[in-house]
Amino acid sequence: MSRRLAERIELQSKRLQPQQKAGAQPSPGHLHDKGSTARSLILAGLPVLAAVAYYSTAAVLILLAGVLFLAAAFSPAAKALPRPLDWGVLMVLLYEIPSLWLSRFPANGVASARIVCAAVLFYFAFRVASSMLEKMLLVSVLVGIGGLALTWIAVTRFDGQFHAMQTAGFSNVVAFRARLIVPGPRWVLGEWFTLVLSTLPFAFAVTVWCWLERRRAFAAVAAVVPIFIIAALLLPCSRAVFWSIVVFVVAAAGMSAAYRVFRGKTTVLLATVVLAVAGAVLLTENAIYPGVAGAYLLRQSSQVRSTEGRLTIWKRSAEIFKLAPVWGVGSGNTPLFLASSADQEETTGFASRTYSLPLQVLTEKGAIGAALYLSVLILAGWEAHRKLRNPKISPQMKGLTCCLVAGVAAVLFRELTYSSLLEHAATAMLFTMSLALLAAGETA
Amino acid sequence: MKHLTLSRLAIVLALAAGVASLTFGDYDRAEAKLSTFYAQVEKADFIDARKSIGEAVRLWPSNGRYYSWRGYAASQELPSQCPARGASLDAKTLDEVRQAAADYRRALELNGRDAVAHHNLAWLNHLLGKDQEARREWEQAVAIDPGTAIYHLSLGFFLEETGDSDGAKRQYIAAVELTPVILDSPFFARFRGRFPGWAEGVVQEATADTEGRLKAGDDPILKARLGKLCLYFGDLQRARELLESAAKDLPNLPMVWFNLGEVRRLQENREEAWACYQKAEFLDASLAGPTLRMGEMYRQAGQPTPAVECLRSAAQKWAHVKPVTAGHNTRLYGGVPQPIDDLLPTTLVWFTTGCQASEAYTALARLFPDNKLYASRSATCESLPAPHSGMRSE
Repeated sequence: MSRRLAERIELQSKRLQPQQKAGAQPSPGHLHDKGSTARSLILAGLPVLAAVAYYSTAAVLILLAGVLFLAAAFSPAAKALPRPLDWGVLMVLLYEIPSLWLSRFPANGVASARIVCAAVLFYFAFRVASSMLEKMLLVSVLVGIGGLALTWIAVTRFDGQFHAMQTAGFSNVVAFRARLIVPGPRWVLGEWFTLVLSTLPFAFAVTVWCWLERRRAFAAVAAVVPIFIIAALLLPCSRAVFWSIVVFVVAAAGMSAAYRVFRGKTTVLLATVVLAVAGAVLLTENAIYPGVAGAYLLRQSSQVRSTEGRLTIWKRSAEIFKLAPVWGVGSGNTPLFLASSADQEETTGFASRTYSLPLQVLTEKGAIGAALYLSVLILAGWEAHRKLRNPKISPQMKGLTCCLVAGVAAVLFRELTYSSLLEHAATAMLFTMSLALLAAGETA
Repeated sequence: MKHLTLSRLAIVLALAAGVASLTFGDYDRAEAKLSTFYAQVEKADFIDARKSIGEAVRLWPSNGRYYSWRGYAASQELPSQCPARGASLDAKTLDEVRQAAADYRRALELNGRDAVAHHNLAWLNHLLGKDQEARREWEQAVAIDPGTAIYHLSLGFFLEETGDSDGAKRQYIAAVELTPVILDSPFFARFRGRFPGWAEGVVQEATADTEGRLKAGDDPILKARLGKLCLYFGDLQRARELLESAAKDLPNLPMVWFNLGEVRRLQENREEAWACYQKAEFLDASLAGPTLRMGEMYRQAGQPTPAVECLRSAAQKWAHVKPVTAGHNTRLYGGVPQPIDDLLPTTLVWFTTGCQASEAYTALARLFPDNKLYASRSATCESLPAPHSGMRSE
């Protein structure tokens, strides 16, 4: 054995001595560290579970239940009482029981019940496992990377379809927007735009965190991820998604200024830069794929028909709400009623969704269900407000909170004219994850 | 309540979710069986298909859709044409009809909003001679999904057979207005053969209705439909104007490009016709029409290899034509996309949609004069049975 190695072993044994003396009875701090490490591991595994949810919601349910059990068991220090938001989320899950029971055709509601169940389990897993800012940052990085991967798939898919479309002699990008990205690769389920849009606040939060840590170079590098995500969101020519991005930026900037996360001037400057970058990205995309910008500046026939069709379907959905105003017709049941309410004079086509989340919740879950879902949003807003005005909360946590609230607002804005959030576990889980992180407490 | 910490709440929730996931697991296995069932029906392996769907029913007995599929599987051996009035079915067939009808009734008890189940139960009731019930079920199917032409046609066939000419006419007009491609179907060809005046009247009224609606507001879908109706009447100039206008507004509609191709072909503008067929095929690769026309054009240009490829492909595409209800049900019920037909009688979809089989096999028979199979299939469309014996072309 060399002399240097012998010295090293001796030094290590000296370091270990005080720990070994106290080692007979591990300190509460030591226990807490073990629990904390376990929770960190569980937390890092949760986005992986979200990825598994692509494949099978049933498989992910049992996995989530197991993870939640372990996370709760490994938290000796987590004696916290549930927050009002936790009760609100739990009520949404419990409501699925009478909703299924009273459904017109319960078999169609099973998928929705499963998605709500997965989303609520995911919510509680985050509530139990995440409290520290660093952990939330880790989650944000992982989700941001996931968003970047989805972006890559979306852009390559768009590029391939665009060139195929041109080869076939078509040039009107807007009329073909439905098939340029959707359907994506078979393994990417859920609604593309909602899925990618849901990752935007997390990617943005990492940049904001780096900026507030005064690591400007890291912030500049981290900004590449949200820029790519915005690029993917602007490509498919969806006006609702375009305005959701604007809503996200304005909401994040507005909250940052209102709660003094940034100075007013800095906020305006940052928001202007983000919107200018988004504009530059759109112009670049338009140069590569002519016609993309036209979707947002002009009104084409397919867009007019899309708007008229939605208005017709919303009117028909209102009639369905009248059939069962209290409990609703049941999850996944609205499409069964939409066809029969079609006027034969219309040329809207077959409608299999309400094209509006609020209307979907109202028709399928009734006034009681809608009130429960609304109460969850109000309670989440209250949690965010409570956190943002607490002087003990770090600016970094406040920055993350602003991004999450803006993200929730952006997704809900997009869902005003679509109804995809409750269609797939991945989108619902990302949404409830944002709510869980809003409720998570952290002091500086 | 102080003892109810977040961790404890989470543990209770995890245990409850673990138990619930066992039930969901059964549902997943049932859906997997449905997927197997689809594959077996596609391969015409009906014995195994019946076993698979039976297992799905066992795993998820409250799912009405599975009963519908079990009824459909049990109906595969049933005649494609209802016997003449007064003629009875043999005991084995009667037993199969009753079995299938019971499944459809159970499906409708669980989900009364399934238009396909109403439609198919109507057919089975008609086979059993329960015409009043049959009529009620067909009317229900039309009421639940008035935008689907095939329900109007089925009700119309029945009304025609029972002698309600006005009622039948109304249904045919509604169907032609919704889906003018019916004009290319074996049904319409025979209808025109039997009652030329009546058939012309149906198309004229559908045209007048569509024109009236188009005056009320500019609508590319109505233009596309009217374009097809003008094509039927041989008004090529107007058809071209309407179809080009529809294609300009909504260039993503494959049938618009196909019909525009037909106009250009009849105007003997082969280059433009070819471009239109290519666009239609790009937009919907499952369409047999554009592939058939491209095959014919290859054959006329003296290029037998691509011609044979296209003609065979057209015949295959026609054989695998899916009703619009398959796409609707995929969207209504989610789960595995429905790749198979679901309507009764099993030849109904071929009878009521554009039929390219005869033309494809005739062209192939010309290219391969010694091939007896092609020659024997040259009258495929003409030999398709009409659903009701009273509709046979005499």
